[in-house]
Amino acid sequence: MDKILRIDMGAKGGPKVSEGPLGDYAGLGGRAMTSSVVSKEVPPLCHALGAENKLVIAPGMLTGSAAVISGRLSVGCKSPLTGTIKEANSGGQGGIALARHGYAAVILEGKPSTDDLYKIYISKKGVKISVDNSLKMLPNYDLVNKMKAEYGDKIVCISIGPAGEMKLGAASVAVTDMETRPSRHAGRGGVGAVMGAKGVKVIVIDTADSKIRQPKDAEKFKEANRKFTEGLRSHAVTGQALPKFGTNVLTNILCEAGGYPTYNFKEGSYKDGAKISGETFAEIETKRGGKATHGCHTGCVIQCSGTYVDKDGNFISKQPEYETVWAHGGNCGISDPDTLAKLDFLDDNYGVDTIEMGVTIGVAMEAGLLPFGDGEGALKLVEEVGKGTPLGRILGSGAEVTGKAFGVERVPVVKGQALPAYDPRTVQGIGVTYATSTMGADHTAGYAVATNILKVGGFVDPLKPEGQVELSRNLQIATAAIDSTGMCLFIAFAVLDQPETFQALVDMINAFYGLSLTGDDVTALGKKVLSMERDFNARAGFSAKHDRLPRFFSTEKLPPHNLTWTMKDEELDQVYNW
Amino acid sequence: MDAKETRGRGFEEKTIRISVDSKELPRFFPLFQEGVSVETDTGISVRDFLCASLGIDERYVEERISTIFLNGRPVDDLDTSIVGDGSVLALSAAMPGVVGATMRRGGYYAAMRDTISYRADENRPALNRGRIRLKLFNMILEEIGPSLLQAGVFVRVDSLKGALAGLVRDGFLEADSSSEYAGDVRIVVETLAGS
Repeated sequence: MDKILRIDMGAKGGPKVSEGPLGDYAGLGGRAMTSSVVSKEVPPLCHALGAENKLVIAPGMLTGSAAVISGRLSVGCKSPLTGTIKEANSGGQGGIALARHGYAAVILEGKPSTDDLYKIYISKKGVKISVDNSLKMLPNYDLVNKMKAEYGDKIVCISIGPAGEMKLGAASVAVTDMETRPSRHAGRGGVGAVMGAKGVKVIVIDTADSKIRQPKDAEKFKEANRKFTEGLRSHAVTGQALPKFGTNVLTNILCEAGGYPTYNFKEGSYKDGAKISGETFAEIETKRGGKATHGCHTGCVIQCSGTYVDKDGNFISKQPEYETVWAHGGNCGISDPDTLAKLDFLDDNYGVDTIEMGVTIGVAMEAGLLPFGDGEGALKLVEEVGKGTPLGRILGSGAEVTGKAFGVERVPVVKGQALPAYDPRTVQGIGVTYATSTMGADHTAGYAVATNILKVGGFVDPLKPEGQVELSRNLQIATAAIDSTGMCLFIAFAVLDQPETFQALVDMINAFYGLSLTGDDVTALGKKVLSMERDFNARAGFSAKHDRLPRFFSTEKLPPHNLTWTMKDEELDQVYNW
Repeated sequence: MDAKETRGRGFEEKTIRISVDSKELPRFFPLFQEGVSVETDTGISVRDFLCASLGIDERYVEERISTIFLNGRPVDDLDTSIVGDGSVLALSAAMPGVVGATMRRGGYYAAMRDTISYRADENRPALNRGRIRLKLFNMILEEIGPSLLQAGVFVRVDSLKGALAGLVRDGFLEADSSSEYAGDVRIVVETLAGS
């Protein structure tokens, strides 16, 4: 990963390709790379769909190496959904494929002067860009099948569906998985709309003759990788719960805790939660001949994904994630697993964020467009998005726009981005992260990384009133660092509980790059990333007043605990004081 | 598959005894997600209920059941949390995500859900006999569900019908629409010898 590929889509005479050294971006990966480039090169006040915005696609620091579970891909830009800086993160094979061709980043710049649609083909021989208007409005699955027919099976696709072409706020960037299905998505913040604005339908990466990245110190790297793998496999979450039941294992727990937003955030527990739990999905998948345990990219040792098939064994979708099952399920009162899997597929196919789409449909249900629990109606609404009908374009623009269009007061968004599957009235600490994240409401912005091991900001006494703020701050710092490595965030559980596993991760980075980083350096990286993002947002016009949850969280009690959001504004304003 | 009725003592008069091949046991697991009831001493600590009443190994409780909810509130202290007649107790292994970590018993991030945490009630439930509704999730469901089925649990008839419907559909049990049951019924599920 010693070069950056820049493609100026607005160059005179057609797209212009240039490759250059890393320069100021040397040593960066993933979110650190995307946020550095956007922060430095994109005017914060630009229009997100304009020529000045840039779409930065960056593998993590360890992506493409033999490090287990290191295949994550970051996609960054100024977000058309939030207006803030954005990093959306995806699994799949895209990061590995780019890294093994030596690219630390692919940056799409400018804007074409015509409405032609382009495909970019990257191989060992170089980069080719061509107009292919036959791809217009193709859903992702059809698109990938067409690319396979054209370029063969040894390809990885990074693409947009119709939603991206229509530049909708919920549009995602799809990344193909190990089966070359476009089932993995950089979902949040409308990054697909920015790719659409660049006129790029798909980046096809030919993996032939690409090479695994080699560490500086092979022996130390191998040993650290072994210890890291052992740590993941021996932990109850990463070695057992996630492989067996997937992320949706959380449904029963959140329902029990009363923190599972139901019927557009009106209740905190879904009566039919057990019908759509991870346990139930795993049982269905196993019984029907699907897969309950499967990785989303090469080298994954957690294997929290799966394959969901119908009663006859035909593929419906990949195993839907917890957030997807929640957004389309409990949040909309839909309890049929088959319907939820179909919604997951439609989201992937048309290229929209499952969280944003599910929350948007919940808002539409609140507006009376269809009743809560209407699974068939929900499927039709996503079809409207795919077809680009006027209603579909409103829905595809996200929950905030839909709420305004239909006059809904209870619209669960922060900075224009839909809240994920944990109600902040029940788990007040995560509300701090939702409110203050540089990305808009984002559950992965403050993940469970071992702050007590990293000692970010010193040890925190969680029983003190300021504990919530400090925990959120430390989680956000650590998460920003992990997002830069290319590691899947799910490593956090093992790292949280096992200091030796965290050390193995640091050792792995050191052995790969020939460095001698400590936990403090990891912390410094996280702070640096957050500071850049925060600075970009400030220059884009964001201030403390935007770091707030919607008012209804403070005024409406959430059953069964009947709690409201009680964090004070002045406490929220302390998150970035370090 | 074999099912028969017996008369028993306790809150329910009838017990349905079911014998199944061991590989069919998971068909009954959804009952635990919705919750089954067990007859027990009440007014006792969660630890005593799990270890003394249900006979679960103390080390397993400490190390494996890392997430516990009592009446929808995350439990941190097994000894000061008291179960009463009608309590709902949910058991889970360690869970992913920041919120999963937040719910963990006595975990580092417990403060993030401080407002819903279980706190010992001044009005401690009286020592008595009663029923506790028990929910088992994820790994815990698979690991202690079978022994509870063997010991006998009370389930809602409608829920049981759902589990049995699958067995009827797949030819393990003959359909019988003449059920006289309503409300809760006690079931004992044993595995067939050699299965």
